[in-house]
Order: sequence, then C-alpha cells, then structure tokens
Amino acid sequence: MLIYTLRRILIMIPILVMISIVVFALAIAMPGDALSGQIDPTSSNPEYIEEMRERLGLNDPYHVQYGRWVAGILQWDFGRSFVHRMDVTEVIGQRLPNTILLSVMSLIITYILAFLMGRYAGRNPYTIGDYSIQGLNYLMLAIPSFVAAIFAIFIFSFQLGWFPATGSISSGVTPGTLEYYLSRIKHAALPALVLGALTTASYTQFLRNDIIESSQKDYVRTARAKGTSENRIYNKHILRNSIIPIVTLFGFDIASIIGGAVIIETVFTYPGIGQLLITSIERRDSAVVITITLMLSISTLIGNLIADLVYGIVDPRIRVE
Amino acid sequence: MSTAKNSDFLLEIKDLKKYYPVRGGFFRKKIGDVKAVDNISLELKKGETFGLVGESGCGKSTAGRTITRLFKPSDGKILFEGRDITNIRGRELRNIRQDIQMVFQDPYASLNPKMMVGSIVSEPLVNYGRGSEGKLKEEVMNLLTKVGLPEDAYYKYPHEFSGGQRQRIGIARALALKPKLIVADEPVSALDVSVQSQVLNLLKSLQKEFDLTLLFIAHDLSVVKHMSDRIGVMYLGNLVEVADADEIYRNPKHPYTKALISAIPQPDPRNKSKRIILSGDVPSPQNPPKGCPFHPRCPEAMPECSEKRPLLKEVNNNHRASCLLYE
Repeated sequence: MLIYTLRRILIMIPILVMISIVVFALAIAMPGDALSGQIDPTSSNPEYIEEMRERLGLNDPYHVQYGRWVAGILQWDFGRSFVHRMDVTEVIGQRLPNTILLSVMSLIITYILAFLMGRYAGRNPYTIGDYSIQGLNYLMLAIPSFVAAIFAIFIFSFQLGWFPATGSISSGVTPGTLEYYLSRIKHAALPALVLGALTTASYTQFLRNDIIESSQKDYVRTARAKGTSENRIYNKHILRNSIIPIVTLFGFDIASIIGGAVIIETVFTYPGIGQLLITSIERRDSAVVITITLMLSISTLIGNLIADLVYGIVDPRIRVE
Repeated sequence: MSTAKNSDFLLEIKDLKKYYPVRGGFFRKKIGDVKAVDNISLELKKGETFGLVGESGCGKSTAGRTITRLFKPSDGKILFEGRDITNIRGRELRNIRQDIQMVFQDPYASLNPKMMVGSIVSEPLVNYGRGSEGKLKEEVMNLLTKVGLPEDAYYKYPHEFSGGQRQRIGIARALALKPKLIVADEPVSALDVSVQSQVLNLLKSLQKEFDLTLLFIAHDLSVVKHMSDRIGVMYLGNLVEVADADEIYRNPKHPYTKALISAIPQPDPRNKSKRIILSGDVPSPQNPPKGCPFHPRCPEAMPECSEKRPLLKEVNNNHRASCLLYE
C-alpha cells in the first residue's frame, strides 16, 4: 500500500509539469500582461512602459520566462498582485479559509442529503417517495446555480431573514470569540446549501441506483437465506457496498465544487477564491489568475489521488500489495 | 388430514405453484403469467437425498427457492415437519430458516465480496444470537476445517479463493446453523468436473455426519444419480416422474425421462444405445400447451394427450409418472 501510494504520487510529477506548461501558456495567451493592468491610462509614456517591460523581463523569450516562473514557485514565490499590492500567497491566504469552509460545509450538506434521500429511494424504489426524490433531484440539477442562488437569497435572506445575503462575517465581531465563528458559519450556510444542493442530485441518484443494483445481487439472496433481517441486509450487505462509489466520488468532485464556488461566491459576494479569480481576471491581475488556476488543477489531482487511495482502503479487493 | 402424524416426512409439498405476473402496456396491467412452477407435489423423508432434475428453465431453481421461502408461493402448500410454512412471514419465517438452509449455484456471486469469510460463515449464528464472541470464532474455524479449508481462511476475502473453495465456504455457511434441510441449487454446475466430485463427496459425507436431508437440484443426470436416493424429473414447471434413483435409470416410464436418460454419454464407445432425439423447443412457460405439457415434443404422443392433462400417478411401487400411457 505504501509503495502504491508513493508510486501514485511519483506519477503526478510529470502531470504537474505538463499542467504548469499549459497554465503558463494560457497566461501568455491572455490579452495584456502583468504590466498592462497597472498602467495608469492617463499618463502612459510608451518609452517608460517599454523600459518597465524590459526590466520585468516580459520581453524575454517564453522559455526563459517560464523557467523564472517555475523557479519562483519552487521557492514558494508566486509573484505579486498588482491590484492588491501584496504577495499572491498573502492575497490567496486571506481568501482560502473562506472557500475551504464553504466547500467543506457544502460537502457535508451534500453527503447528509444524498445519504438520506438515496437510501430511502434505493430501499423503496418505484414508490411515490422515490419519484418525488428523483423529481426534486432533477429540479436541483436543472436550475442553474446562479438562479438558485438568487432564489435562495430572496427566500431565506429577504423574506425569512434567516441568513445574511452577502459577505463572510458580520461587522464588529472580534476574531477568536464563539460569536465570530458562529457568524462565519452563518454567512457560509446559504451559499453552501446552494452549492451542496447542486452536487446532491448526482450523489443521490448514484446511491439509489447502486442500492437497487446491489439488492438484486446473489449475495443479498444468500444473506436472506441465512436468516438475516431486512434492516441488517440493507445496512450491512447493501449499504456498505454502495457507499464505496459515493466516498470516492468526492475526490473527483473537488474540482466541480470549486468550479461551482466561483459562481456561487460571486453571486453571494462571498470573499473566497472563486470571487478573487473573477475579479482578478477582470482587472488583468495575471499573477493571481495563474496561481489560482494552478492551485485548482493541483487540487483536482490531489482529489483524484485521495479518491484512489480511499478506494483501496474501503474495497478489500483492490488493495494492492 | 393430519399431516403432523407423518413424522417420517421432513418436508411435504402439495400442488406448489409459483407464477410470475407479466405486465405490459402503459399502465403496466397484468397480461399473463409465467408459470415457472406449475404443479409440484413431493415428499422428503428424513435423511434422504432427493434429486430434482430438468433442463434449464424448467423451474427447478424456482421450486427450490420457493420451498426455502425466498419466494412466496402462488398456490399450494409447503409443510415442514408437519407445520404449514406456506404463508408465514417476518419473525416466524426467520425462525424457520434456522432449519432450512440453501447452497447456491454461483459461488462467485453468492458471497459478499466485501466481507471476510469468517463473517460470512458466522453471520447466520450472529443472526440468531447463537454462540458468544470467543466461541463463535472457534465454531466457524471448526466448520471451515470440516469443509476442508484451512483455518486462516477466516481472515480472507472470497476473491482469494477458487470456485471449489468458495463453494466450500457456501456449504460451511449453510451448515453453520445445523439445519435439518439443505436445498442445494445446482451446487456444482459452476465448477470444473474435477472439482465437482470433491464438492459432491464433501456434501455426501457431511450429510451423513450432520444427519441432513438434502434437496439436490441439478441438470446433470450423472451428478444426480451419484447423489440421490430418489429422483424427480421436472419439465416446464411440472414434476413428470418420481422414483428411486436406480429404478428411474433402469426403468424410466415417462417419455421425457426416457429421452433424458438416453442422452447420458456412455463411457464405453462400443455400447451404442439408441438415443431419443426430441424435436422442437421447450414451449414458453407463459403459454404452456394444453393437455400434457410435453405432448408437442413427445415421440409417443396420442391424440388425447393434447386434451387431457395427466396427473402424477403411481405406476408401480414407489414409482410415479404423469403420463396418459399409464392411466
């Protein structure tokens, strides 16, 4: 298992190199460069700009620029954000906890909802309850997230007043107090619900279908013949087998959660990575854009790695010696 | 009728039927039945092995599963030790399962791939709260050695075993509760011929040791002959002939049985027996022929065969056949 893990991580290195090339190429292809974002349009002296270009190395050949960029990354230097006038690591570091909180909450919501609904629908297939759950699922899947977000804001914030509509923290709470953490969770709850609801649909459907399929397996019949009670059959023989694909789905889902977060954070003006990405693109803050893109790619890779490893742990058959 | 007195019968089946509804159309209305088991009556004496043979699709597996009450019978009666178990449910049904266990056909699919062999075999004991924690393991290991597996099989998963070994696991599991009746549904049909005999001999010796009654379902006539005291032949959901094992091979009565027996390969190439080749296919169980279900393919069919349905009747002592030739 350890060797398998190590080998699996080693394979990631060439993939990382390729990703970095693609990301860098995209940045080059983007209109404007690190300089164009911070030029004052009223006082642009072409000679000065050209001099700055030369000094920042933006006129060097691409492979030299790439080498410099990679060398910086290896030293944990991702460049400076020209908009925020801070190191990129610092800008992202401020926003990252918000997005992590949002993602984790949405994952928890997804798993709870999907587990409850999928289990019920799988145990009672082709009943009214099952059809209602499926209908709800398709509805959640079909509504675009920004529409769902706006509806959620309208209903839960404006009409019912349960959750705040924007931001990640109420003003005037001191960091570190219980009130502070509660306020953060309260702010993340509504975007997390909308984000979680989107992924819930596929999880629920997955679990439902897997339960139905497993319940027709021969070993379930064997369990019944052994005199195992229906509850135990479903909990021990079926659910344990059906939960595996769901557990691993999460690894592959990290990317889509972050992708969803970009939209949701923008609608909720929730200061996370997604919102940062959008504003940075708008302002041509290329160092930030490149770093976030790279980060998202790497987290997808890590998600897949986790999925593979978790799969090996929960499924005794593919435990590699 | 006081069936409880017939204590030498462990299991009695009377006019057992199992129909599957066929649904069609937009509203999924019932438009017919698949008559998987159309009419079966038989008795199993304590300690005997009853072989049930027939070609695939004739309803022998359905019969076995209906008898173990994995399926609900459509009609008829199942008496176990004189007690009617035809319609019991819930707790009562679970209790009767301690006495009736089943060995399944496919040893690859019928074991949960994500459970250790130890938990597979001990689960029946856990289900009925038999045996304490420490004793349970000892008992399971005991069972594993009985069926010829090493004790460390306890900690392995099913995929680490070959087909024959898996079937041994299935047998150990069925034996765990010390049942009175085991229904073995084609226990060796998925195995190699060389492994078949090992598993069959194991079943035979265990039967003696545990004083088991065995309902042995198979489509291989030589396997059934090796195992059974008495044999029943099924065709299209009906039992067409029942007799002692030797008798049915020496003196088959029903034309279908005759054709089956004539098809057994002879080891001696000079011993050329005349094979009876049946024409046509097995009719659909959804729409079985009128009269005798076998008459469209029967080489000895008479005009009345398409009208009158024969009943299982005694031809001579302990030999019953359902054919108009003997009525």
